[in-house]
Amino acid sequence: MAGDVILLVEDNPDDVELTLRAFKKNNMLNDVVVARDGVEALDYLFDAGACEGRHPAGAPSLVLLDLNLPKVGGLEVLRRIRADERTRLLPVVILTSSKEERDLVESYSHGANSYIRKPVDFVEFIEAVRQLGVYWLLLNEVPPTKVS
Amino acid sequence: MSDPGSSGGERRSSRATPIGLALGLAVILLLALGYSSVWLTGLERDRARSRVTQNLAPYVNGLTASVNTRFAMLAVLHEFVTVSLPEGPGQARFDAFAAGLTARARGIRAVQVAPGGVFTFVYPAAGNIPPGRNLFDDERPEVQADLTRALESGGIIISGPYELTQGGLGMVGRQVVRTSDGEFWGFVIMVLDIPPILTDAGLDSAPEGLHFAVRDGEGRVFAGDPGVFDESPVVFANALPDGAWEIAAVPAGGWAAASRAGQAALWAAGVVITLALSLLLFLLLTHRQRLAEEVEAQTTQLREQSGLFQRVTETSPVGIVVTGVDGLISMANAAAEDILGLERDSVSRRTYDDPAWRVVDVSGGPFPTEELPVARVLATGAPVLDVQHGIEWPDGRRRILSVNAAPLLDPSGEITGVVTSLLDITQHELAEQTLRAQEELLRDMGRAAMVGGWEFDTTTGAGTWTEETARIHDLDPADETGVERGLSFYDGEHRTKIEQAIARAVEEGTGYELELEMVSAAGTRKWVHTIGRPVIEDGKVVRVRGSFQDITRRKQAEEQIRTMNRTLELRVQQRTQDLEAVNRELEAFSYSVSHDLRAPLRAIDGFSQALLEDYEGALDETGKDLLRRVRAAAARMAELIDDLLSLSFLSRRSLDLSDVDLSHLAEEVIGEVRHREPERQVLTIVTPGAVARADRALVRVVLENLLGNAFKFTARTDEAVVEFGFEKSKGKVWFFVRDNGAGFDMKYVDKLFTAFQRLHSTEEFEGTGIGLAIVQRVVARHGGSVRCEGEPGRGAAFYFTLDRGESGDG
Repeated sequence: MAGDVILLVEDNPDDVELTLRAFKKNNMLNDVVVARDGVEALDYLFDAGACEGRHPAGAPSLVLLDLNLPKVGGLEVLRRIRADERTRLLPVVILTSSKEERDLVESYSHGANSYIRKPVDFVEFIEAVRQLGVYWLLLNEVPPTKVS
Repeated sequence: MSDPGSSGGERRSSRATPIGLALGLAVILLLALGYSSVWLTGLERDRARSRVTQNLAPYVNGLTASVNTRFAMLAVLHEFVTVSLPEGPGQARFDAFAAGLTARARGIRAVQVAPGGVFTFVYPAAGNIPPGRNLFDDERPEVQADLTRALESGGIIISGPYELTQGGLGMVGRQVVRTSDGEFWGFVIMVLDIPPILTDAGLDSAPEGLHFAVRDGEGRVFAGDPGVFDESPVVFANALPDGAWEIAAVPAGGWAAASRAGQAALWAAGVVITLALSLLLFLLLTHRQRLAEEVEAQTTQLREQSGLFQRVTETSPVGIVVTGVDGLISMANAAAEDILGLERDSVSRRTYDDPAWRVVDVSGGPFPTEELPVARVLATGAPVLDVQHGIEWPDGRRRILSVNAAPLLDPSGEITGVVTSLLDITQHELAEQTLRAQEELLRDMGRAAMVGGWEFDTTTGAGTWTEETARIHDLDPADETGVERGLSFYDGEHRTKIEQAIARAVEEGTGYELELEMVSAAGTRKWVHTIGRPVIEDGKVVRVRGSFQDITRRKQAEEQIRTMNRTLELRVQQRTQDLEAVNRELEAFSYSVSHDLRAPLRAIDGFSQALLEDYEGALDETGKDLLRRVRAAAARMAELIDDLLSLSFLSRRSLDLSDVDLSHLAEEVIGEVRHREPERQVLTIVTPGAVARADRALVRVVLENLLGNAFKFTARTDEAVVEFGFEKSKGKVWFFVRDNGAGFDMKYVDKLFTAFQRLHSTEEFEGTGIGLAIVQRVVARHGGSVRCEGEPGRGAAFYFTLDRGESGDG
């Protein structure tokens, strides 16, 4: 579990802070790479732009993706991840405030693996992150990653 | 009236008589003629017979004389012998005497003397029986019979005629010779030839015009035609000295021919007379009968005419009154009685100008007596027509009469009376008044409604129109009109339309209804609504008629409405666009709320929690409690945001209808609620079979709210019961959720469904107060309605319908 890198795509620094805190609370010691908008996330994933050369922890094992992002929206990021051969099978969990049906449907139809609405209650949030980590990083078996 | 059937029958039977009678007469006359013919035949036969008798008589006498002459010579011989007795004459004397006798007449074959029966003297000797034979020895019985007769009589006995021994037809006379003392001495005998006797009598051939025959006493015919005796001949008995010859004759042509004389004339005359008389009789009879029939026919006709006249008079709805020159009414029919309102008796006792009539003019004013029709006819002798006046009945009713009167004239032209016909035109007058009133009404109505009528003849094109139609055209109603004139008020497409419509009405018999623009005679543009209907007679359109209405004002109003509608449409479009924009904004707003309002809340809550955890030692209990309050407030705000969002979501979302089993859905929701609060002991009752056509997700929200409420408000109730069911009322299915919980006061019922309004404090029962608002929103979006019943402490019941396609089994 510790070797796995988690890509957190979140523009709100409070939410980043709280999410990281939740990871810590759950003793998830994974490397967490934070992308502040869709462009950063894509750069990180596809080694382009501002993040070129900054691939400290290797390819992520899980992407936690907010939908409401500056520059490139979460859904667009998701679409690109699914369109690229390298990231086609990468688990992506939508982690957002919205519970709009439209967002849900579009996320799943773009190939999201999970959709989690961030609870306002921080205790509940910690619990949600815990379950998320247990499931996606421990229980879930992923197909062998291509050597890139 | 006599029965026409029986009299006709009599006529028919009497008509058969003349021919019968004529034929009868002819038969009688022919019978008489036949009788006359028979009688004439008899007469003629008698005459022929007497003619035959007359013609034959000389021959009969001739024959008698011829025979008697010869036998007279036998008598002489008898005397000659008698005187020579007793010795007898001697041969010589006898011969001389005999020669003298035979010379006297022709046909004396032999003269013989036979003393004692023995032939002694025979002259001439030649050719006769030689002397010596005894007569009594003759073997012929008739000879012996003759001898006996001769001995008995003493006179001449004649035998024959027969074939003589000497040959030829002859006869023999014998006489006994006695002595003076009367002793038989012998016989004298003379043999005669018959033909010379007949020749002497002229009978050697048939007398002229006769057929004759002669026979002896024994019926042997020895001369003439033996058939004569079979033809009822005229017969003479010859007076011979001994025996009787009969001589008979018939006319040479037979009796029938002889008696036929006069028949032709008789029959000719008779038949002519018969025909003439019968014809005469027939003509006489038929003439008489024709006369009789004519008389009868004329009588019948007269009777019928008289009857007809009487019936016509009696049944005529026209009153008929006959007045004498004295002014007295002599006759009035039933209609007249009815019109005049009087019994027959009293009518006939009145004069025409009796004041009791109460004659008035048509409008009820006085009517001068000398103007009465009868008075005028009596005064002038000329007929009077259609004088109208009224008669007032005793009961005050008034009748209006139309009276015609004409004089009755005798052959010399003198007036003998007046016949008056009375027509009760009260109804007619009333009808006319009504008609006038209706016409006026129609005219006024037409004017008020600006509707007129028109009509034109399809053959001539000539037309008529009502005042209003003319007025709409700005023409004088008296102006002449017609199709061409009518059409001249239109131009352009309107002209084309009306022309085509009229052509189709005339040719195909189809009606039309058009709204057209016309230019009136005054140059005003007007809109008119015209309806045309063909009038079809015998399959041909003979007229077209219809209505004509000025709809200019309506058209203007319509135009105004159209303009307004256009404006309105534009406005609606604008508003719709605005609304859509607002909606879009609202959507964006909601989205933003759900994201952006919740993120700070999460931060507030998260960092409060971080404070509590990381700085636990630095905070006293009050600080910790304050932080918990911060967290609780954030949680409540998140709840409010969620509710707000779902309310807005419900309003925007489009309905996805399907058949939803509400009972099943209720069970599902109850299961969830129980799962959330496993410690609750609540009895739930769900009636199965509540089915409705609805949006499943939305109805689920409704049930979540209502059932959630029911569980919530029974939290403090012992033996809590929550029930879901449905019932039918006024054709609608009401679903309900009922509980026996806290209930509510009905006076606050209005607040129940308002968002964020609560009847209970949050401490008492948690909640945002938006649940029922959502319920109402969802139900309203389904076209249904919500109502509720409740009482504090005794529970609440919420009813709702889902009208849009609700159903339900029972």
